[in-house]
Amino acid sequence: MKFEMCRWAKGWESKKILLLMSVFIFFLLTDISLYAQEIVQFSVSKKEVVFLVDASKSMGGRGDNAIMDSVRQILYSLPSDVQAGLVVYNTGIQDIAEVGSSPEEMERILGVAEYAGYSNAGQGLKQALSLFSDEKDVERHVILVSDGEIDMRSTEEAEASREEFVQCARLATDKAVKIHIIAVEGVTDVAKEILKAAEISGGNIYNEGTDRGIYDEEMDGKTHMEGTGNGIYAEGLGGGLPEIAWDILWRQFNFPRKSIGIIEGSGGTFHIEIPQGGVSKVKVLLAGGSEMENVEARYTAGSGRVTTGNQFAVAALTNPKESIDITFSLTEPSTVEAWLVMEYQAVLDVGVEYRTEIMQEEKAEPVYRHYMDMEIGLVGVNSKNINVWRQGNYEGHLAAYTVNGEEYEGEIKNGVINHTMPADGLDMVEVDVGMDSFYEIYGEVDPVQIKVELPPAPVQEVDYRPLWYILGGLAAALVLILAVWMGKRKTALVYVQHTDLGKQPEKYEVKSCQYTGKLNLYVVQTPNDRDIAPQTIRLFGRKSGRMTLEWMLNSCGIKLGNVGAEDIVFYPGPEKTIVVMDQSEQCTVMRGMEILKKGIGYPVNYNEKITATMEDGVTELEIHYKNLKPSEQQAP
Amino acid sequence: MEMLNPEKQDFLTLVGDVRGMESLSDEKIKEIHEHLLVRSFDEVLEKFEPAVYCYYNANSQKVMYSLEKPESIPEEMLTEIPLNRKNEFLNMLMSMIDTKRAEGVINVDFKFEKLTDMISPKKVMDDIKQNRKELQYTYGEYAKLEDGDPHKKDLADKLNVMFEEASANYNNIMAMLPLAIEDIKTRLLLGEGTERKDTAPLALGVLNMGDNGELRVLEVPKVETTALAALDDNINAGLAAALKEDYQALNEESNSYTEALVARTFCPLASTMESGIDKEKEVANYNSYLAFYKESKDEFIRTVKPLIEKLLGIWCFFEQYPKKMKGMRPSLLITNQSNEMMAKAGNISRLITYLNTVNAKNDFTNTVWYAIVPSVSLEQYSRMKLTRERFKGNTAAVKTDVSSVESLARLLDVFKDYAVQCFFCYETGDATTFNRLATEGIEKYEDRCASLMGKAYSEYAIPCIPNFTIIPKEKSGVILDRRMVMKEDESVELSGEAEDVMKLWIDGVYVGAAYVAAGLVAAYQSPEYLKEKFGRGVDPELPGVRFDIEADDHPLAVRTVMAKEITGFTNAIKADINRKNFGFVFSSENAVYNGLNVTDVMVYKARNLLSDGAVFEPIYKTQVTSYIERVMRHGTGDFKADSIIRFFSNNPSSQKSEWLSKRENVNAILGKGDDISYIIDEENGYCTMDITFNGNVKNLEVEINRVNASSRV
Repeated sequence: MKFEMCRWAKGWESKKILLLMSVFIFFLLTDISLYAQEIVQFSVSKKEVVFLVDASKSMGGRGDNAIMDSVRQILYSLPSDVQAGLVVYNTGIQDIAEVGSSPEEMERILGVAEYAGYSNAGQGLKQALSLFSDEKDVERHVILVSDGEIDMRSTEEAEASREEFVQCARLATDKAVKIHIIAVEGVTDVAKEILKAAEISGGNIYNEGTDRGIYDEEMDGKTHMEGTGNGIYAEGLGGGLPEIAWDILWRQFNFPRKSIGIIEGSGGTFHIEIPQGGVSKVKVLLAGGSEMENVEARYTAGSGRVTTGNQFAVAALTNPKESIDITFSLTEPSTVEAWLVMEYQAVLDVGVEYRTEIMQEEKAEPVYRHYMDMEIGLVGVNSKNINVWRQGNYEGHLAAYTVNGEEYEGEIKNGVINHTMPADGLDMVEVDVGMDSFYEIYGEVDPVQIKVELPPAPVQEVDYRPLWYILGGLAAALVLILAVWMGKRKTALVYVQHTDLGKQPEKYEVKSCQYTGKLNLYVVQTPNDRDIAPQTIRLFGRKSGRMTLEWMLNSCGIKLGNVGAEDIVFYPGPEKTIVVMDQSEQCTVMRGMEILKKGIGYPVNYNEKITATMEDGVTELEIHYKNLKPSEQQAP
Repeated sequence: MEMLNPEKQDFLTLVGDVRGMESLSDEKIKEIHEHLLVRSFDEVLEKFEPAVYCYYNANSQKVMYSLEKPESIPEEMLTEIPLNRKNEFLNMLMSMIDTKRAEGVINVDFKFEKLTDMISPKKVMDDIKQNRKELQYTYGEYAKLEDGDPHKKDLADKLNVMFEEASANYNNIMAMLPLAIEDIKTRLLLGEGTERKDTAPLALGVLNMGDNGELRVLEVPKVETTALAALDDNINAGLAAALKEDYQALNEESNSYTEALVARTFCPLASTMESGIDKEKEVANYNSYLAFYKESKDEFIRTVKPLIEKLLGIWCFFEQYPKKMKGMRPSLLITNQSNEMMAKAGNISRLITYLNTVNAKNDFTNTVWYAIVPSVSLEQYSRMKLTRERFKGNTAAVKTDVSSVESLARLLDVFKDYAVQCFFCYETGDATTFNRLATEGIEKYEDRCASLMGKAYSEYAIPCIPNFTIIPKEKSGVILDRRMVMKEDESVELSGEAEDVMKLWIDGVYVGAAYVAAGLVAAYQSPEYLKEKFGRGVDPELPGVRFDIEADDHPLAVRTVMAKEITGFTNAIKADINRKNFGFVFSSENAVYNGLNVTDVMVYKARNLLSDGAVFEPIYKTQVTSYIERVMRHGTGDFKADSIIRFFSNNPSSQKSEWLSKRENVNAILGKGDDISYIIDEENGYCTMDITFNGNVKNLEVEINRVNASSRV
């Protein structure tokens, strides 16, 4: 590590002016599409981790707080679905923190730990394993921070502890608990027992102080422990404690995150826009290449906390709004890399449309096939159903999902994954989406169950065409008959009484005349002495043709019953007269004082009146024929 | 359009069956006019003899009155009380209008009590005192003369008339009541005057000098003496005997008390006054008479008030035209039939036939120009019935004879065809007075008229507001008298207690504005009338059809004869009236004309319900149009096309030229700024005239009479 720092320093000398400038990175989440085609795989299962810290006298000899700092780095960086616990041991168990304790609590325990006594790693590991919960489907890790020595007062005790340690390591292997070992200050020869634990459980050994980069792996994936020389091989990598801590975080816990960027220089500001809708927690992790100081974060959130260490800083916010700005400076120019860990509260939202396809072969009954067109989306809880994928710009992102247990991979388009499937024979469809390819933590997203409701089968259309042809034919015939009848009616001849009384009634065609003027209607007498308001019927502008008294009464809303009004008829007459004809059996109709002969039309001039006594012998009407002035004729 | 006396002939009966008839015969018209046409108020009283029928209900011990002759009651049990100028109530009201007009004071300052006293028993007695003085004198003269003297016969005739008049008072008990009341009062409270406060019985005495020269009043011994009688006792005795005899002859069930009362009233013989009076009995009688009198008067007034209001309305109509003035005196055709009845579908054709006869001919002697429809219902919604009347509230003045707006609309629909302008007013009462208009504005009336606006007949509907107040409701109390009480020392006095004051309430008397409006408009049609009002500038031949009563100083010159009622309308109310120009509105305003204070009610607006959307049309426009149409029809032989051209030609003898030559006159047919032009529409056979009134054009369309066969379609 010291070597590396020197190399950095040399480079720095030559680019002094350039690097003195603060670098400002403006990070927008919309640029995340850079990652769109990258196939990532995060671990989204629940996790438990117990830190097993050796507080023996040999550990206290370092004189710095690097061990504690790296434990803090891991603790504060973990997302909320990773539960952590702590065991501090030396000759016996010095202190413990249950799994699920807060990082602050564990930091407090580490702060008061006393580096003294022997190193009873067997009892420590046993205690650590006992802290795990019994919950299923949980990934469990033990991170042992030690200088590798199991040393007790007597050799027997030391042997017993070693024995216990190995047994516990085997037990851990049975329970699928991975033991990772951070071997501080390298691994001494006597520490091989401890390393066995990692070997047995499939964990990693991190050997501080080796000059290998933490990402340097050999082709076979196995690294020969340097300096051990005793033929024990373990999967593991070395480096400084901060690098070891990041490696544990990324490789062992592998929770979803986004890389924000890297700043090179002596300081800078990360500006991070937070997408709106559903984000419940955010952590911004900064990893500095040299010592960081003056870390400041500006944000708006429900709550927030910035934790800084020697070479790291973590800003943790709940219910953040809009954006975060984190400013920092470095004691020596180096690089700072930043990651964003976002936790969402979201649920699957599946919209379904049913589609029916008709398959019909000739002379066969049609077959209806139903399909479900689903749109699978993810919406934030308590965020007015905002589509998270659309917000996160996941256009084109490939995601794995299952429908009724069958696995699919779909591309997100417009914030949804489209899935079409036949719906016949299904009662229920369960949709689940794998969240391990997303850069955010969604917690437990429950699968969605959809009850299949097929649309009713369409009513089979009957071919009515023959019926329409028949009806059309009938209507045409009817129109023809009506036209003929109307034509005949218009040309109907009416016998009209000649004004000269001596002469015979003359025939005359109604068709050529028009209605003019108006009729004032007075119901003078009714059987029950009902008083009916006078009414006016405008004749001007009406089509010439026969008009009955009954029609007139009805149009005025007068109901007189069956009194023979339908047999008193009117026609337009010549010279603006109206022709009245009594065709009834028992009505008496008078024009002025003259009683009308049955069946003969009588012309009535303006200002003349017609008196009609109806069939019941009681009901009596007076009809006054009046002229309309030109201004009245124009009125509607 | 009013019912005055159902016993008399009415319009519908007289017109009779009109089946098949276009018009009525001249004889029929003459008959109708004989019965129903009146030219003065006295003629109304004479022709219609308005009366109220009175009968007694033995069960309730009450007097009942009815305007309609109750058919189930035998003739002999009914008393008919004529409502004529002698009727004290009607008389009082007419005097009140006259007095108020003469005094020219507004309602709030006018002493109504002075005149309402006229119907108290005291006033009746005062009248009788005057009559009996004449009677005594005439009888004295008569007695003096020898039999066979021709002059004695003359006097006998005169006496017969006087006895007839007197008998009107004593042939029914009701008329006798005030006499009896005053009689008892006179006898029991002899000597009581305003200056005398002690209640010791009066002992008449003579002023004397005592033996020692002291001044003293000696009581005169009560001897049966005739010395106090002012007139010759023989004469009086004879007169008294004659009265008694007359009373007995007229009343089968005569009694000695009334007989003596009649004699005492008409012939007060102090000499025969009996000194012994049963005071207790007399006091009881007095009180019961008074109570009965009050009750019966109450009932009478309640019954007769609607009829009285109609009569007063007619009286006011005629009053608008000065009595002495000759010329075109307005005449009135009283239908003697309710509006509701007239407007019934079965009857309306009778009205049409009548109007067809008098208005659609070229004889304009009987043309009906105006109609009066009083008492149109104001209430839009029926009043909720109270479950129990906790306090004696207004009994909603059971107005049975109000006309509905619907019936008015039906009548208007007929009137429009015959160009009859209809003045109508809302039901009389406290709600339609000047006072109310001054406080509430015209909105109420406008709302009620809304259904009559925008119709073909709107032009002929003239809402007249406000109604006139003859006696305001709050000042309509009449103190009849006070109860009499007998004290322990047997002295008698009129009670001073408030509850013993017998007061009756007339409850307000009003006159419909339509009567006055029609009367005034009819009056100013007469050139003589206008001449009197304006002096110069009045053409003696032309009627006042174009006279715009709203213009210039016209409202100040042509005023009603009704006295001012209130101090005036507020500017806000007047602004409201002016903005809408609604109705025929009277105003009671302070004004000075020719240096004299105007004390009469004037016309503020004269508009009908035809509106151009903003303002209502003045009534004269409609009238001029009707007039021109009628004159033209007459002058052009029923609108002959060539005559129409001549009518409008520039020839100095043409009608138009004649009218234009008189345009400076107050009563010009075409005034300044007016013009008339015409267009003949040959195709439709119509002549359209544009009559311009001060720049506003009104159309008149008449059908041309095409006589040539060739011009026929």
